Amino acid sequence: MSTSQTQSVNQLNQHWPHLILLPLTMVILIPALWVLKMALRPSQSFDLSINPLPSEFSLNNFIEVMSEPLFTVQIFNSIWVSALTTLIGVFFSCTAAYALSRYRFPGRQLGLKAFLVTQMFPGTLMMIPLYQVIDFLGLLDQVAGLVLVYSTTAIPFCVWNLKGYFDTIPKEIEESALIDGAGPFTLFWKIIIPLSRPALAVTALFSFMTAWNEYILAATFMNDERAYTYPVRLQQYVGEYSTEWGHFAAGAILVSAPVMLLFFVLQKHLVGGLTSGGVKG
Amino acid sequence: MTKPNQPSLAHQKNIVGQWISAFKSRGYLGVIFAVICACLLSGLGLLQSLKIHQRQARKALIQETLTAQIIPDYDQEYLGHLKLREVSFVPQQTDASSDQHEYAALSSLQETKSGLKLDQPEDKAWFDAYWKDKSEWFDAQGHLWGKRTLTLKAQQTGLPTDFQLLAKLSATQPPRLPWLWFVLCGLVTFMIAMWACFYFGSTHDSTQDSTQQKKAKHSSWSLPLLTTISASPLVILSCLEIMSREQDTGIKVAEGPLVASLALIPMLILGLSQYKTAGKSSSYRVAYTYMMPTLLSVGILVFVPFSLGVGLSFMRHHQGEFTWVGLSHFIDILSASDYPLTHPLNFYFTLAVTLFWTASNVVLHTSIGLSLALLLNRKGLKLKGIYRALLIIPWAIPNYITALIWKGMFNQQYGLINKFLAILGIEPVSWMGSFWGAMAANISTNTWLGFPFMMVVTLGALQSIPQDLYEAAHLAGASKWQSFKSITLPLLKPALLPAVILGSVWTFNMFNIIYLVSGGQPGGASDILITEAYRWAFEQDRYGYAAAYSLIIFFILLGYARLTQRMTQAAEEVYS
Amino acid sequence: MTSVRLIGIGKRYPNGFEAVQNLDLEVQSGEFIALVGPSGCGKSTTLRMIAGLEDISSGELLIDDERANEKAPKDRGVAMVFQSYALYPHMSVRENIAFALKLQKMPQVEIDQRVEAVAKKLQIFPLLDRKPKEMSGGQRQRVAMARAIARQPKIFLFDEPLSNLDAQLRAEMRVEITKLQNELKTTSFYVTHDQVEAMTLADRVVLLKSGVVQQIGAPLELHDQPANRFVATFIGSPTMNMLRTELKLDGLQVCGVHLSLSTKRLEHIQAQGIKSGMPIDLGIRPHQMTLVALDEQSKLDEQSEQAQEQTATLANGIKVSLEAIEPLGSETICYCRPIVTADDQESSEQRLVVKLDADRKVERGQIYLLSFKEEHIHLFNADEEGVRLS
Repeated sequence: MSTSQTQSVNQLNQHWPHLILLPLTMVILIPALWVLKMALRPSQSFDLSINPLPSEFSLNNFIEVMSEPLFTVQIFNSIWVSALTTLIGVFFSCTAAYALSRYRFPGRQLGLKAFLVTQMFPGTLMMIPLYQVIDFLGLLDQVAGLVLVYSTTAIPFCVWNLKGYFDTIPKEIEESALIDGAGPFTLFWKIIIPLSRPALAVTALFSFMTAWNEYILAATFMNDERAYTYPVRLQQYVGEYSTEWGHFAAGAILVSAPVMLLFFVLQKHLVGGLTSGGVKG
Repeated sequence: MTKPNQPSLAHQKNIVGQWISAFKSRGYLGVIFAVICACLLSGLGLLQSLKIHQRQARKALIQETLTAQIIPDYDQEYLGHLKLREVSFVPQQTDASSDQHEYAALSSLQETKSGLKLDQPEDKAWFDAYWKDKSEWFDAQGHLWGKRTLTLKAQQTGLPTDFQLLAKLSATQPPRLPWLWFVLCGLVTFMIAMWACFYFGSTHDSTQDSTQQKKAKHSSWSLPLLTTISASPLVILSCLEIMSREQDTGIKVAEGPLVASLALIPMLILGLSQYKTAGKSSSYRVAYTYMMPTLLSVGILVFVPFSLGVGLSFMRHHQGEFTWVGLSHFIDILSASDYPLTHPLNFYFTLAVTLFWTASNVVLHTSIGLSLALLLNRKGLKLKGIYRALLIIPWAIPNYITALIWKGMFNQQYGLINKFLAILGIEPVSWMGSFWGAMAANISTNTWLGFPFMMVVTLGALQSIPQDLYEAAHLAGASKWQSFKSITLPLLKPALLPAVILGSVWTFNMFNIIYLVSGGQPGGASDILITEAYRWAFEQDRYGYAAAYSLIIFFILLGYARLTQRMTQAAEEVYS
Repeated sequence: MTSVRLIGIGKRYPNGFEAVQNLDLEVQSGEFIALVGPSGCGKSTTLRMIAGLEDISSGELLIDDERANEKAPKDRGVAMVFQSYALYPHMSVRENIAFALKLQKMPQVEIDQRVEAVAKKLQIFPLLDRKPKEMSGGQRQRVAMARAIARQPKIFLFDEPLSNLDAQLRAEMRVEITKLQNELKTTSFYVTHDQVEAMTLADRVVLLKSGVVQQIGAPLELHDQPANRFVATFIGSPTMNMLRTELKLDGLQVCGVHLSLSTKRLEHIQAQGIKSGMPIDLGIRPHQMTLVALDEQSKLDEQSEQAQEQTATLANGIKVSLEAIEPLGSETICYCRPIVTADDQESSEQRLVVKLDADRKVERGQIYLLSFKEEHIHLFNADEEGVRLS
């Protein structure tokens, strides 16, 4: 099967991956389909048949979940927190990544290492002191507190991701802009940012996910139901003693849908964006 | 160094003129920034002091109110100063709904809302309780106070219409950590000082001879350090002042941060006096300006909590009071003398479980991700885009949702896994009843949600391998396997290695899956270190012990990173 | 019109590496200066210091008699064309050219006029709305030029702008640049490692080697009167032949052959402290040498006046064996090795390149006599620096 490949071998070569991909994709899809099925059933129990395809179509669960008195407030909290986190996280990590990529200054290596080390900080160690700091700043039960915490947790990864991308932007382009009369900040806004759009999109997606999917910190810092982000509420549907699976499934779909949409839209960038793509030309 | 100076001095006749031009030409941004920082800092202090002030005022008010009214009523605001004592509530009956739900809310209240213990009344009524304004619950002494809205709903038909609830409220929430101020002010001052000094300080990338260069390098670190040290007595004094004021009465304004920020002024002057060449573009200045927002926020919200946590690990917490215990937590944990080696609460048992958990996950993620990426990267594969889109789905679903769904799937009675097994004629398995079952559930859940990341990383790396390498290998007569081994794998390594290392760190600390899927069942056996630490903190209220536990986790990970050493290097390689 | 003065300019990196040392250069307004040298000689660094992209470690840069060391690049009135063109990939050609003008807050109408005028001048008008990605290398090069010209800068800086083009385009662009330079008369600095570009484009050439200026002068000056051995070998193609010789009382001993020197020359050399018996490097350009077939020599002796002259200066000619021939059509390059007595190892390892007219027929492996005129030779000190003696 080295040099001379016959037609039939070629055919086999073409199609055998499907033999693996198809069943695997099914395995991936089945839990997701079950969620959909549960959401579309009127019942709240988990008791399901094996067939993953929905047999009943009732929007009751969705309607019930969405007509909860605090639904809009909580969803809005989630959106608000995630959007702000994305904005702040990306902006902060952008500037930091740019400095780390382009300048050599004392403390650069230290900074890079510190960002990596933060990834190892155990959440349990941070939670109580973090609560104290947030309390100290007067930000408990406030969107701003969550935004701050989320964006700082997202920053290290974003910084590394963006730094990798910035490193691939040729230095001459910046120098050219400098000579053309751009100051360091014009340079950043007019040249670097527009050039890094794909990487920014991926970074933004991660920032967004950090905030959108988190519930432990949210449950800790938010004591007022009106200040909950939606995941906190959603998690309560399937507490230790109560199981409103139908509601939970409907809520889960509502929560996952935007992220999935973003994933599909950004799929192309995602593949290159994690290992840094280049700007050529 | 004299030569370039002279012309600029000639242009600007005096030092004042030089300063003004410094502000005009480039310095003003820095000054504005420093002023903003100082304002923020002092504003924070002001806010804090106002809060303390308010609290003092309210304290008096409440004590007065307390004697007047202590008959809480459903839907009525309850004002009270409750100092560790039992209070009886007489709730009215309201409409009933699902009893299970109510109980869940109550029990979760017990778990998560620290500082509150609700003992159920003898007649076992079910309640749904909501607290408001929790942040104002305790004062500095650990006394319970504040304005509460306690909503209690009596549930379940058939219950007596009036019954008694005994709410035992104890001040178990940790009080303010006294050293917070020191760390916070010190850190902020240091960072601003450093930034200011680099901003205004001379650039030493243009120094002429090596001795001067050395000197400059030395001063670049020592200057901010010195200024911070000189400013720190002020900071410490002001902090002490604040702390004492928090306890005493008659507070006006907390000058502390104000004083601390005043310490910035000599620093600015010092920095300006270092000001050497006019209009010279110092790359440090811009670099530190860019780094500043991130450093500040990450410093305050990541490194400050971390150092506070470290401090916490040397203390024991009991009913709101911290006592210094030194290294005894660490010794307790590491000597593991309380439990036999096979006991789930033994540290080494949990460590072994964690290592098993991490290793198996990383192996599964990487191998599945890699092989899927290789399949998807084949030329001429049909439906490639669809496969890829579908295979990414698990990544896009929030992991707590995944965890809960899988938990349901592993349910002994209703779980779909068991239903599948039933088709195959296998008896239903009690997954959470055995250690291996629980681990299997955990690992399969985490594998399901974790492999897309590795797949996407590998796909990206695969696409960056030049095709002509394969053509060259093909011409050299290499078989598919040979070219995979000698081209694909080595070239994937720089991209995969950091992903694997980061992935293993994340998995090591993957709280959600373990906590939500198996929840440590049976009997805490399937807990990993991080969930164990969480239980110590939030179920046992042993914050110090939990902090020590977490710190050990951190050091294990740090050692792991050191061991691989390539973490930064390899990452640097890939990302540069 | 802008004059530029570099007074003792130096660049020293934090690691102690000195990229440029003590460079003095006075540039008249409208002059076209080429900075040449092998890679790593500091020519690009010098250019970048003029541009303001690198800090100047020592010395002073005066633009129009005003100190510019600390000026930001944008305040120096320079425009630069990069080797990689450095076009902004996310902007169309029009936006690329207009970027600097926009930053100058020029009114839009004027920007449009300028962009279009420049685009017409450089024949890229039809490309104005394309992105850099969608263009060929030559077109990108033109856009980069247009971008520089549109700003009407005081100084043009070129950093090897043609090195990414193929030979034909390069020649074309060379002519174009000359044309533009004649038209715009802007002070320009042009960095290249290609001496042909330097020679054809520049009013004056600055030749650098490891950060030190070797010679500054008009192109032909560098060619005809190289200041040292390095300049002599760097300028000219094929490179100048260098022969290690020994000074005798009345001439030189070249590969065992005596070459008599004019008394003026001898005096000049002796005045510089070289005594009889000391080594001297002799340089001779390939096109100023000729090969005479061994068996033809006697005939030539009688017939050719030229041959007589040659034998007069170089006693018999150096006996060489022809090792390789490169017929280039317009000329023929011959690679020869001197045939000497066995003990003269040094000379026998030397290789000589001779450029002959295309119509001369020579054969590989044959033995020839190599001869040249005394007036064409360059003599250099045999020490490391190799300063020109005469």
